[in-house]
Amino acid sequence: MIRHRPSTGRAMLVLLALAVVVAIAGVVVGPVAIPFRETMAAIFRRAGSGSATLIIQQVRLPRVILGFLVGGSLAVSGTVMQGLFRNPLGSPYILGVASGASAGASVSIVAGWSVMPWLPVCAFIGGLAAVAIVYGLARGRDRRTSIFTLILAGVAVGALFSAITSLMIFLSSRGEKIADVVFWLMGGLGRTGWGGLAILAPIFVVGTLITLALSRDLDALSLGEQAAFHLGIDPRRATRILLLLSTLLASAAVAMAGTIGFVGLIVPHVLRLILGPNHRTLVSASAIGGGMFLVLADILARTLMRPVELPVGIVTAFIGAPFFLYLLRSRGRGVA
Amino acid sequence: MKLVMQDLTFAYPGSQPILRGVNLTVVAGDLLALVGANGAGKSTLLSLATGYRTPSGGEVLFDDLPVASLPPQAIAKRVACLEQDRHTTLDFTVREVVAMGRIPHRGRFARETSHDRQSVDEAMELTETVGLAGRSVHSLSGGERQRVYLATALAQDPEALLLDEPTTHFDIRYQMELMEIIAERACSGLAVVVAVHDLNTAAAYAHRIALLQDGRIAADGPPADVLTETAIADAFHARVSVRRDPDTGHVTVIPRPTATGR
Repeated sequence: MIRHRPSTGRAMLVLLALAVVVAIAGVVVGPVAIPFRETMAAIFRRAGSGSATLIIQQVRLPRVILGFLVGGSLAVSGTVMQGLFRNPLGSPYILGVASGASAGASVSIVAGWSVMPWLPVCAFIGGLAAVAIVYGLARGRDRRTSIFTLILAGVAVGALFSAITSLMIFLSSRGEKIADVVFWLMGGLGRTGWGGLAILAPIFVVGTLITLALSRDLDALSLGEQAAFHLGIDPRRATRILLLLSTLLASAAVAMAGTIGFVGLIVPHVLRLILGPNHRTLVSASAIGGGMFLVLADILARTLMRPVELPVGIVTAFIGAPFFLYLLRSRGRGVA
Repeated sequence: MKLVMQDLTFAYPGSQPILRGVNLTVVAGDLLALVGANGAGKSTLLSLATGYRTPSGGEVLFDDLPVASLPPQAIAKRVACLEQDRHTTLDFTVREVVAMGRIPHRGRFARETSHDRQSVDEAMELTETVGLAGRSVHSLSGGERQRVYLATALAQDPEALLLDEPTTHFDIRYQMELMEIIAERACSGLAVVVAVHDLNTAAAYAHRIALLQDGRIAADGPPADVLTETAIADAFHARVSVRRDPDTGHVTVIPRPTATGR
């Protein structure tokens, strides 16, 4: 079968154009109707005092940017995991990042440390701790790490950390804390202001750039460890760095926005079906496409049941899963 | 290029040593067939020769340069190796797979240069895979796919080419197609080592045969000198007749059944 794929340059241009449209829509749409001209003015004005300007500058703009950063981080992380594990079911959460971060977040909420810097810090530490334990367990005596053991250890450690989260929910006597934890678990973009962005943005940019530099390593690793070595790549070193990057990106994203599911699983997958498996293209496309998908989902989350705001994780699953299945059926070439 | 394996020993963790002092030298233009029983250590020896595994004793030298001192990229610029059963889970096109042979020569962010493109095109012409360029590797037959992976190795523009049982799963036509390409590369100056099971293939194409037995090179020389009835009985525990084919002059190995239905 001859593969017909759009050229990388053209695909990236289309994605960027779509991303700009989605970003503008994300700022324009909201419970308070603000005229388009005023919205644009507020974006480019330095600082304003009108309520419209405040809503745009302090609420909607950071929220859209957060959406792009979180979605992009999750999708790049998922691309790396699917590449490394040579498995289309790989996701950023496969090594326990999500359950570790959830445990960290629920501990901090129940302990009463849910003031701004603490919750994401605890979640971040929880996520990294879970992956560190998984990695430590999977590392054999000969200092080799088997991909298979990693996945199994990920499942087991994930279960352990989920138990911590459940315990926290059970122990917390006050209903509002339970609601807080559950809301965090479902994920949402509404909580972080500009402060959170300043932390996530550099992690996303640097993480994505280093991943791009290692994209050919991912290509070669798909032929197996030994083949990658014969093509001039140090497979163990590349795997180690890529796992670390992917974990950092996912932990940072989850720390800021909770455990939003499906973005990291589906976006890389869909893009691979459309653009092919070449990782240089795939990583760049995921960095943009992941954010676009999440912001789009967030617009729906804010408007579908107005004035109630849905957790965005519910929306990502509702639009992601059917679209993914449609693509799978229409391509008819299985999941690889 | 001179590839020297000097007194190599190796043991997998927790097992008896599989190699106990292997000495082998290959130079440009050589086509050396590495033969030996299953589990004799042919694959292990090749993986030591490329530096993928580290020997417990002895060393491998490329033109007097120890392989252990070279990073993987520097090795891959000079030595291409096709390990057993290479395959990819991803839906790459044939050209994308062959272009991976240029990885050791390219910078991380560099675009494909005209020289890269030329090497890839040449490798595809040599292996007659040009017509497959746009196809998915998953859609190819086993023999076609093996030629594509051979093209990847040739696109590395190596000085030495190591192949681990490249013909094992294929029928005689695909075996010959592949061996013809490999023999031609040796003629044009590559140092080639090919591990093979089929002694007749080895006898027909190789200039030299090295017989691996009990962790050492038991014999190393022209096919007719190495493939004797006693040597084969010793190394493989198999009763065979060795004859010389009157048409080609190559030795041929014929099984001698102890019990036949006829």
